[in-house]
Amino acid sequence: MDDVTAPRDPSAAQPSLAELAVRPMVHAGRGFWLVALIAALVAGVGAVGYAVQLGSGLGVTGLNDQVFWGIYEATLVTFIGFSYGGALVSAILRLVDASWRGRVTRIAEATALATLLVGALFPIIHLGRPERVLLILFQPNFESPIVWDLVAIATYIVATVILFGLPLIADLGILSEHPALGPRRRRFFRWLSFGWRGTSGQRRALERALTVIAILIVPLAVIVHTVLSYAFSLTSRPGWHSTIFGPYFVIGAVYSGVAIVILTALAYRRAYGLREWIDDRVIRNLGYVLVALAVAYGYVTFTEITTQGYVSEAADANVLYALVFAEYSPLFWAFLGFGLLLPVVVMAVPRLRTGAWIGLASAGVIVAMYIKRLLIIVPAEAQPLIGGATGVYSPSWVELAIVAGGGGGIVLILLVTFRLVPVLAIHEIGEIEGRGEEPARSASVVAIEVTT
Amino acid sequence: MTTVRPSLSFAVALVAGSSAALVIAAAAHAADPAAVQTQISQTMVSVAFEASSVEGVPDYLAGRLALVDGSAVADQPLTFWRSADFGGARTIELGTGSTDSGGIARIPIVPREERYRITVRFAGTNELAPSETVGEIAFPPETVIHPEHAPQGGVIDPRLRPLANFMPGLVGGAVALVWLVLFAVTAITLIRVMSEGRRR
Amino acid sequence: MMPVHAHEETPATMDGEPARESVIAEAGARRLPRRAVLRIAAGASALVLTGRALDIFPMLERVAASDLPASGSAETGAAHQWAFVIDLRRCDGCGACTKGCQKMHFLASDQEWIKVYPMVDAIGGEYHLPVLCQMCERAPCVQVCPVTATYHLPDGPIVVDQSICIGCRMCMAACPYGVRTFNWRPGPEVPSGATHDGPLFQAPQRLGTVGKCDACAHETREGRLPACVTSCAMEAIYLGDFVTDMATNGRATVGLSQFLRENDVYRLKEHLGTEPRVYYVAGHGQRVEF
Repeated sequence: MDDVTAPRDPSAAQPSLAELAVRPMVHAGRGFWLVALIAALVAGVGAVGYAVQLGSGLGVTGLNDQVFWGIYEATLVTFIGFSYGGALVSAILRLVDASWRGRVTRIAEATALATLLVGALFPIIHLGRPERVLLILFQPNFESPIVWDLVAIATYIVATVILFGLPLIADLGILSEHPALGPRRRRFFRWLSFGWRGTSGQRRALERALTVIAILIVPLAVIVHTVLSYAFSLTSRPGWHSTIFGPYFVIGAVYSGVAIVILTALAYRRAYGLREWIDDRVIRNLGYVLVALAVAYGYVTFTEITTQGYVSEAADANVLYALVFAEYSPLFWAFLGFGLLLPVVVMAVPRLRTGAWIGLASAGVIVAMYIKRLLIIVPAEAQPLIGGATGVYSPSWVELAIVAGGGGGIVLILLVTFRLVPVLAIHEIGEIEGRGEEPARSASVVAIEVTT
Repeated sequence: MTTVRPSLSFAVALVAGSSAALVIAAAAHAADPAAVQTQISQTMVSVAFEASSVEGVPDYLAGRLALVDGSAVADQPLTFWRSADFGGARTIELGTGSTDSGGIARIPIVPREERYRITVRFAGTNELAPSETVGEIAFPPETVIHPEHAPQGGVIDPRLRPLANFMPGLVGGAVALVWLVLFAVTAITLIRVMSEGRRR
Repeated sequence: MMPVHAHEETPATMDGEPARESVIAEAGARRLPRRAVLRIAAGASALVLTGRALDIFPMLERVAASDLPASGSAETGAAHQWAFVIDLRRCDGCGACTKGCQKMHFLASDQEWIKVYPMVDAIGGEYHLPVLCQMCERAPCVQVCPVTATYHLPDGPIVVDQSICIGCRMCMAACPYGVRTFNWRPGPEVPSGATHDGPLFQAPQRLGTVGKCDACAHETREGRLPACVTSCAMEAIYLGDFVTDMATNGRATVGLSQFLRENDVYRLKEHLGTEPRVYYVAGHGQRVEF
C-alpha cells in the first residue's frame, strides 16, 4: 500500500478537480461548436490556399527575388516560438518549484505541442519543391543551418511530446475510474495509463523523469530557436548578420509563448468555469513573468538598435532608418507600444491586473511579436546588396490564408486535445499543492463550504 | 695606217658597257628602290628560354636576331607572341624587347603552363628583311607557376578549419546523447510505472 | 452551475486506485513490446516506400555520377579555371549582356542573371556595374545548401542542380551579391530541340527551384564564349582562364595576369573573404581604346 495521505474532496456539492478537468471532455456546448466551426473553416481556407500554391508554384505569393522570405518564415518562427510557453511553464517553473504552475501546466504543454506541430509544417510550406523535403535526410549538408533546423525541431518535438505525455499517464490513470466518462473511454484510458495506480514508486518514477526532461528541455529550447535564428544571422546580410539574433529569438519565443499560454488558459477558464483553479493569482503570476520577458526583450531590441545605429554602416543605417522612421515605422512603433509598453503598464497599475486586461496585453504581445518577426525578416531583404531599387513585399491572399489556416489549425488541435485529455493536470496539481493537505482553492469557494 | 675610223668594235663596246651599266643599275634599283647603293640582308630569329641567374629576378624569353651568316643584329625590336586555343585560336602579345649587342632581346616571363607556343617576330627595316620564328618552348617545371585558384566550397577561413571540423563530432554527439536520454528516461519510467501497476 | 453527481461515489482521488488493477497491469505489460516493434517496423517501411514513391533513390545515383567538384588543392585537374574581367571603362550600361543571357537560357524578362546597376562613384560620378555570379572560390551559397544542390564545377563555376533543389532559398539569403533568382512561375516556352536538362544547362528552368548564372559552363566546355561576353557591344566583358593565363572579350585577347596587374583591378565585397573570380577594371564608360 502506498503511504501518502490522499487529499480528499471534502464536499460532494463542490465539483472536484477531476470533475472540472473533464468538463471539456464530456461537454461541448454551442460555444465549442461555434469556435470549432470557425477554426475549421479558416483551416479549410488555408488548405485551399496551399493547394493553389502547390498547383501554381510560389508565384502566387507576394514574394520576389529581393524579398524571397516573408510571412511564412515569420509564422514559422512565431508558431514554434509559441511552443516555448510550454517549456517555460512545465520545465522552468518546475525547476524553480513555483507552487502555482500545476494549474496551467497541462494547458501550456498542450499549446506547446499544438503550436509546435503546426509551426513545424511551415518550413515545408515555404519550400518551392516540398515533395523533395526528404532529401534533407538522404543527402544532408551538415554545414547548412537548414539541416540543423531539422534536427533541432525534430528533437524538440520528441521532447515536447514526452513532456506532455508522461504526466498525462497519471491523469489517465486517475480518470479511468471517473464516472463521467463512458466505459469504452475508461477502458482506453486504463490501457493508455500503463497501469498507473498512484503508488509511491510510480509517482517517484514520474517525478524523476519529468525533472530530467525539464532539465533537458531548457537547453534544447534555447538551441532550437537559436538554430532558427542562424538561418538569418549566419549570412553576411546587413541587418541579419548580428550576434544578438540567438538571444533575440529565444527571448522572443518564450515571451510570446507565455502570452499564448495566458490566452489559452483564460479561454478555457471562461468556457468551462475553471475559475477556482485558474484563478487570478495564477494569471497575475503569468503576467509578472510576461513583464519580466518584456523587459528582457526590450533590452535585446535596444541593444540591437544601438549597435546598428551608432556605427551607422551605410546598409545598417538604411535598414534602421526604414524601420524607425520610414516605411516600416508604423509597424515598429505599434510593436513597441503593444509588445513592450502595454504589458508593463498593465502589470504596473494594480487596477489593471485583472484577467481581462492581462488577456488583452497578451493578445497585444502576440500580434506585436508577429509584427516584430516580420520586421526582422523583410527590411533587411529589401535593402539592396549592391545597387538598384529597394525591394517591396506585400503578402498575397494565399500567404494570408495559409497563415490564418495555421492559426485555425492550432485552435482546432487544442479543441480536440481537450476533448480527449483533461484540461487540468490532476495528478500534478495534487503533487504540487495537495500533498498531505487539501489543494489550495480560491477563498470564495472555501467560504461557501464553511457556511454550508 | 693611222686613220682610225669609228669602228664597229668601239660601238659594240660602248653599247655593251652602257647596257651592263644599265643592267647593274636596274638590278640595284630592283633590290633597293630608294637607295641606289644599299643591300637587303636576310635575317633570322631564334628563341629560347633563359633562366634568371639572380634570385628574385624573373626568367626570360630570349629572342636572337641574326643575319644568315650568324652575326648578331643589335638595337632592333623583337616582338614576342603567344598562341593558345582559348575558345578558338588566339594570340596575345607578350611583350617587345630591343636586341642588345649580342642580338638578344629579352622579356621577362612567368610561365603558367609547361609549354607555350611562342612566335617571335622581327618587323624588318630598310636594310633588314623581316623574319619570325614559331616554336614550342618547354619550361623547366620549377619555373612554372600554377595559380592557387581552386573552388573550395564554403567560406570558412582555412585556418579555422580545425575548429569547423571538430564541431560536427561535438554537436552530433550531443544530439545523439539527447535522443538517447529522452528515450531512455521515457522507457524506464513507463517500465517502472507498469511494473508497479502489476505488482499488487 | 456546478454539476452534482447522482451517485455517491468516491470521486477520483489524487492517487487513483482503480479496482481490477491486476488485469489492467497485465494488459498494459503484454501489449508494450509488440506495440513498439510494430510501430518501428511501420515507420521504417513508410520511409522506404515514400522514398521509392518520390523516386529519390535514382536521384542519389545521378548525384554520385554527376560532375561533383574536387576539393581543396590547386591541382583540381581541370583544364581551365575560369574567371571574368569586366572593364568598366567600356561598359555603357546598355544591358545587352542581360538580354543575351536571357536569350541563351530562355529566361523570363524579369529574371536577370547578370544585372547592370547604375552606380555612383566616390566623387559623385555615375558608372554602370554589371554583376553576375561571382563564382566565389569560398562561396557562402555552397556552404548553406541543405541538400548539396548547388556546388562548384572543377573549373570554377557554381551551378544549381534543379532536379535536387528543394526551393528553400537559403542560398539566396547567403549570397552577398544578390545574383540568384527563383523560379516563382513556369518559364517561357523552350523550342523542343533546344531543351537541356542538367546542372550545366537547364532549359527550361524548373518551377520552384533556384536559378543563377552558370558562367555558361555549357558553352565554355565546347570552346565557346559565354553569352554575356559575346553580347557585349562594347567588348567590356572578358572570359579569363587562370590555367592558360589568357582572357578574351571575343575580339581582343590579353594575358590575364598581366591585364589584371596593369589595370589595378578590384573585386566586390573583398572584405567578406568570398574570393570572387570576377575582376573589375575601374572606370565610368569612358571607352578607353587599347
